[in-house]
Amino acid sequence: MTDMAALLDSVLGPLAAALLTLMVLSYLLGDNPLFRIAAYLFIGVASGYAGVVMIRSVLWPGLIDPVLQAGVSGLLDPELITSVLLPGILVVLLLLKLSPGSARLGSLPLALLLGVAAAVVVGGAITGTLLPQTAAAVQTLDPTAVAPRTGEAGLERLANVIIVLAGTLLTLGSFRFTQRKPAGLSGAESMGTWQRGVRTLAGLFIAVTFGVMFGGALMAAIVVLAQRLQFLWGAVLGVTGQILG
Amino acid sequence: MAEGVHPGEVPDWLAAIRAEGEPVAPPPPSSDWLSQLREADDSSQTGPPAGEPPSWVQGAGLADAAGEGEQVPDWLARVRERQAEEAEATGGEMPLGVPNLPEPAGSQPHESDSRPLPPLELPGLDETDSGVFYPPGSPKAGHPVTGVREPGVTDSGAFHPGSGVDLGAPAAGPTPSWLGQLEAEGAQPPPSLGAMPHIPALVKDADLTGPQLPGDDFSAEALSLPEWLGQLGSEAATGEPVEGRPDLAPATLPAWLEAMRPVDAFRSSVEIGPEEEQAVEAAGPLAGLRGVLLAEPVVAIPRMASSGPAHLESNERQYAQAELMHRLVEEEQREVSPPAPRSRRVPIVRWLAAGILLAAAALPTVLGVPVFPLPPTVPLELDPLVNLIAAAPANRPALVVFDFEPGHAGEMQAVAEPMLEQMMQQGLAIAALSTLPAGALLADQQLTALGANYGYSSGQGYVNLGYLPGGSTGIQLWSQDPLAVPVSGYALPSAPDGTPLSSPWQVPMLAGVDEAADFGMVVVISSSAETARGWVEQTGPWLGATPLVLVMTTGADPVLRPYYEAQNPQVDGMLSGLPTALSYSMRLGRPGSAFGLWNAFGLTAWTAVVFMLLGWVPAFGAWVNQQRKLRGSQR
Repeated sequence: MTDMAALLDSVLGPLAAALLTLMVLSYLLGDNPLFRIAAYLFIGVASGYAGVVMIRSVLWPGLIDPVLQAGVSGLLDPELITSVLLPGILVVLLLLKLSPGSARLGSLPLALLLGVAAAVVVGGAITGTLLPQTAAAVQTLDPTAVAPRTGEAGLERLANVIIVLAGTLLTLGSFRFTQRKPAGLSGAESMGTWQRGVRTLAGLFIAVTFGVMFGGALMAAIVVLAQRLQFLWGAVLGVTGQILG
Repeated sequence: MAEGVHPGEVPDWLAAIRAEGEPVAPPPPSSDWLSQLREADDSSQTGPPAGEPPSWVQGAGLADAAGEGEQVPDWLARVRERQAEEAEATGGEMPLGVPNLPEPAGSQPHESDSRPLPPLELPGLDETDSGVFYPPGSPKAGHPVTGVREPGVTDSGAFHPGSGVDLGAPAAGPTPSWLGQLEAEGAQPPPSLGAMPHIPALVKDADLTGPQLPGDDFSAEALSLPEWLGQLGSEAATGEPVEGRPDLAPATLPAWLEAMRPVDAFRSSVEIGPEEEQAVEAAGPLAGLRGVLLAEPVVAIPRMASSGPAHLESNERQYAQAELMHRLVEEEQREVSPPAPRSRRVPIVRWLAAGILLAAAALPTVLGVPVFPLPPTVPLELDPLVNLIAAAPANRPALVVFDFEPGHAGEMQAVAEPMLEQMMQQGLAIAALSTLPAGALLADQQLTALGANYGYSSGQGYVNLGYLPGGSTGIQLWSQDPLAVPVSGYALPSAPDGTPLSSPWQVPMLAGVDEAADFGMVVVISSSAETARGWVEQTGPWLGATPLVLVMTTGADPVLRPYYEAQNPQVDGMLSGLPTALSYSMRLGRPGSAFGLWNAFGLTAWTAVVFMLLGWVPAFGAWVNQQRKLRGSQR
């Protein structure tokens, strides 16, 4: 590592990162140019870096490099046509989306992208989440069974299974998409007593779930804040040491 | 038909003329229907007094021609002469319009003059209830002919003499020659009538706009108008100035009057065309005359009022709207001074809360004082995870996916650090991968920093496969056939001969990997629950016995935990949150980043909890007051 690289890693890099961190934290004082500069810089650097990564990791090895290695005569190779030429045509068609006049030609690769992605996501959700989680919700109420991960057994496991089952059923029952609301009545007025009870209990489960998720997000933010302040303190110590030393 | 004259009645002025006892020309031989027509014409009608011309004759400037009882006026003499000539020419048949002429003075009134004229039954014409007549042989007799009504036929079906109607041929008897000529000429409508739809003057019926019926030729030639009537028409057509009048152009206004007239109220000059080009009136008492003032300007064409109302009539609402409009206009014209700069309110509460939080996060780090004790309990999922990594095969690399953004690196790197250290302690080969463009960089940063302590470097202990494009599709494709996915790698090592490697699969540590199940384990470090779930869903069917471990942020734990605690778990190990990572570090006996963050994390979390409680107390008080007011209003 050269001296310049060492200086960049030990001094300039942490100093720039510390300044950018302070510029972002200046939003506590309100919207100001320092925060905007940091935000614009972050967006620009992230976009530029993503573009470079796409070109280096995707376009070059998958589209350009095979053509350069095969040459013009190699373009007639059937394998190259299916693996390089057709994707290249789709890429060109997708680029036509940039022009309003030729945007319709870009609908074909866009439809292909969205269709394949939707099929993959929906298929994975059905086979990987819906069916396994439905089966997991219908657990046995046998008091002698033992939970495989947590080791729960007896009444503890039975209470846990009942809570999970009740929360699942009540939450699903609280979303009444198929019930018709009588004319002139509000949503709460059109419900019966048992429906109100289901809605109230389901609301408790939903509130606890969202509260846990919010608490987790808050904990993560606190960890990040503490890490940034720790980094700033380290940067201050490092720069001070470099100056004094 | 003019109002005030009943069917079958002879106007008063006509009866008076007849009563003057003028010699009557010998009646020419005529058919029966014409005799009936004459009888009807001789019915008693009270006309103007003896010796006085009718009012319409006076209006025409011929009042001097009447009045001397024994003397025959000149115009009447000309009428008689022409009548006699036409009677001789037609063999005694009277042309149309003759029965309407006044009889000579001194003639004896007919006995039937005192009787009202009964409705005339027209031979050869069908009559419907509505009084519409249909000529025999018409294509659709029995159906009313819409359009121009037959002149002289009233609504009741009675015939009114003198209306100038063409009665058509009688049902029996020879057709007069003049009538045949009229029919022949009437087959072709006059050009003046065929030019445009025409509303007859002084006719109220609005239905008189239909096409002309054959035989409705009311031109002066066809009707054989009297000479005096023709002279009147010719005088009106010439438009010569009348003697004794100022020399003004006909129908031309003087300049001063032109300036006073309302704009577009009327035309300043009237162009009167020659008589041949003027339309012939088709119906009404003026039927057969040319140069008749048209009714369209009076009836059909809307005009502007020559003078506006003296006062504007408006109600209160219109007045209010006008006032509002006036104010709006005034408001637009008013100069608005720039608003005074508002005094910026200093967000003291926000600054105070931020200062306290920053101090709570910074003070433990700056002072280095341990404030909070280490977590006494160990999460249930920690021991299975430690055991799982300890049991990982050393001859198979572990795939570690770094799927978090740089903004979450502070937490995710701290949480994943003890697990990566354990893997490096065991000497497991690590293959890094990321579905995010910045993930490869973060992976290289952490692996380089940690690997320095365990002799790991790129190609020696770990290899960075780089960026995996395609999202969920790329994950599925990778799970099915990792070698088919073009990954270019990141910071790849060089070959033993010093040449750079073009593909990460050329690194010797990945030599035995042909599919996803060939990895010793798959670890997904993710800050997003959706990304982690995508890995679980897409790689689950292809991993086989290879364990899947999730290292996630605290917020994603409730969403992903069901995959771990299910009866048939899809996830074999979980690691989430800084407390679990600290417990992991304590378990390994190596204080890592989690240990350095623990005090700051604990104090800041407590501060946040205090803030939430402080905010909850007044909110609860406001809710209690609201409920109390609501109950009070309900009572």
